[in-house]
Amino acid sequence: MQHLSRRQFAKAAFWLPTLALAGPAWAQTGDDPVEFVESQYNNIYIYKRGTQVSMTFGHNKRLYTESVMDTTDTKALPVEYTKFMTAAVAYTKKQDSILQIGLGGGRTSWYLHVHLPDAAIDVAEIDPVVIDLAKKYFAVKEEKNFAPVAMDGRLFLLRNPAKRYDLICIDAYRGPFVPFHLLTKEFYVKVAEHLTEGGIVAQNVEPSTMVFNAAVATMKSVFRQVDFFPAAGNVVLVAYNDAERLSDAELLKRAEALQAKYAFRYPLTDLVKGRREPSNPVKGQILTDDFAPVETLHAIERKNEKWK
Amino acid sequence: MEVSEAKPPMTARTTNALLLCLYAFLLGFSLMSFEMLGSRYLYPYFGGGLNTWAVLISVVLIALMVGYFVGGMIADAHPDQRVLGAIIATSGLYMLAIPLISDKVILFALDVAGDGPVGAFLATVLLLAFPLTALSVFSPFSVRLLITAHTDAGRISGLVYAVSTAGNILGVLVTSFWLIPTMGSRAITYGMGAVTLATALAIMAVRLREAAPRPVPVTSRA
Repeated sequence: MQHLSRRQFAKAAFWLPTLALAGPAWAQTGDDPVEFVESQYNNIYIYKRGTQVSMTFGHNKRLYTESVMDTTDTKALPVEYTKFMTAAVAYTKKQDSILQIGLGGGRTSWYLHVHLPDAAIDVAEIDPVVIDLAKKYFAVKEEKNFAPVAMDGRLFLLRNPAKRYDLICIDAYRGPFVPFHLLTKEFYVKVAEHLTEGGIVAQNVEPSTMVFNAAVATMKSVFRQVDFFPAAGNVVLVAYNDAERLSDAELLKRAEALQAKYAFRYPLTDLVKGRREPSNPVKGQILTDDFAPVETLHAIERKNEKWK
Repeated sequence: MEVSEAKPPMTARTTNALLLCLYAFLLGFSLMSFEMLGSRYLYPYFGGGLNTWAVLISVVLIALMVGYFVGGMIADAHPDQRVLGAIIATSGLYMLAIPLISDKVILFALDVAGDGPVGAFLATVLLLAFPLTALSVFSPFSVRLLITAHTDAGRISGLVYAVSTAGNILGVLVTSFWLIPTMGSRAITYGMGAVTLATALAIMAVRLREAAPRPVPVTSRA
């Protein structure tokens, strides 16, 4: 089976050290997953290589890595973009409540839970089997302030109209695709309604196709500011509603204060320095519930974007 | 040498068959177009998974089942093209209303039956069951209007179902690969509603020609 990844860094992070460490042993043990489950939503493969465990979704004979964890160090974030998802914390004014849409192996949300034990974290994950496997293989536990719910992310917002979050992290993929109803203007409006004053949205996007441009344009149609954190193959978008783009100095100042308070494993002060501006303005189509040709946009390759 | 072989005028049977095949194609297209559009209406509320498709496909098949059964009964009781046209027209009018009512209907289904398969089923039934049932009355009805003798019943019913299914196939492909990527779901819904309504008006307005009953061949044996 071909192993290709929408999260290229995930692939590199997972396979390269594995090849280096395991080498011939891996060739002997073959390619068998330790567990394979065909759930209602996904074909899920759990692989173990050395000290690393990964969750991948099979789609069109390809495997898409959703999560990687080092079993000897469960607080580490081996996948580059997941570190930058946590950079969004630096933008927040409060850290009392967080919503994660799309659990996967639960790396980002569990990392936030470990460092912010007083923050109430809700997780909306459509696939109950993914939640079970995250508990079984990825050191995720249901506990006070960490509550995974088996529900579509958009439906979760619809069904919980009173809930408000200081940070909403969106990372919902089915193989290579973000379901279209999690990419539309109506969806982001719903997300914005669930933010506290000064609330922040972080979204993981794969930038190789025109869906990236559409996602940026759609987010910009709802939020005044969208910042970019390129992360080895993925881009983390951070959206907020300030009238002005947060200055580097102010962002670093906030990061310093929060880093001193919470002592994140990956210092916010380092992560915020990863903020970049695309060298050309990103122009795309605003997606709506009515008109969201994501399949077509996925088919159009995007030119490699350079970052300032 | 002089050849004076006048082409015989198209028989009433042939013109009737061509007309009804055209209608069958357009309505078949519209029906499956609505099945594909249904997914776009349901996804934002019920998610884009196997369960949504299972609900959608089963509701369309239920509509076909009821439409075929009831359509056959109405056709025998009132073999009148105006009755058929009126039924199809109600379908077209309902389709045109779908974009206006869809959000309210789906939220109602969510409140009453939750966000699981039961809620999705209720929402789909409310949105699609009526117009698609009314549409599927067409096939048995048109067979009844075309048949003049039991000896051509096989060919005529086969023709109507084949042409209607050709419309179904193109309805799926054109809607998914061209219409949805090019225009909005609402625009497509209005377009398909208009096609259905126009077809219904044509069914009522364009009189089928009186076709002489085909003589039943009599086999006599000495």
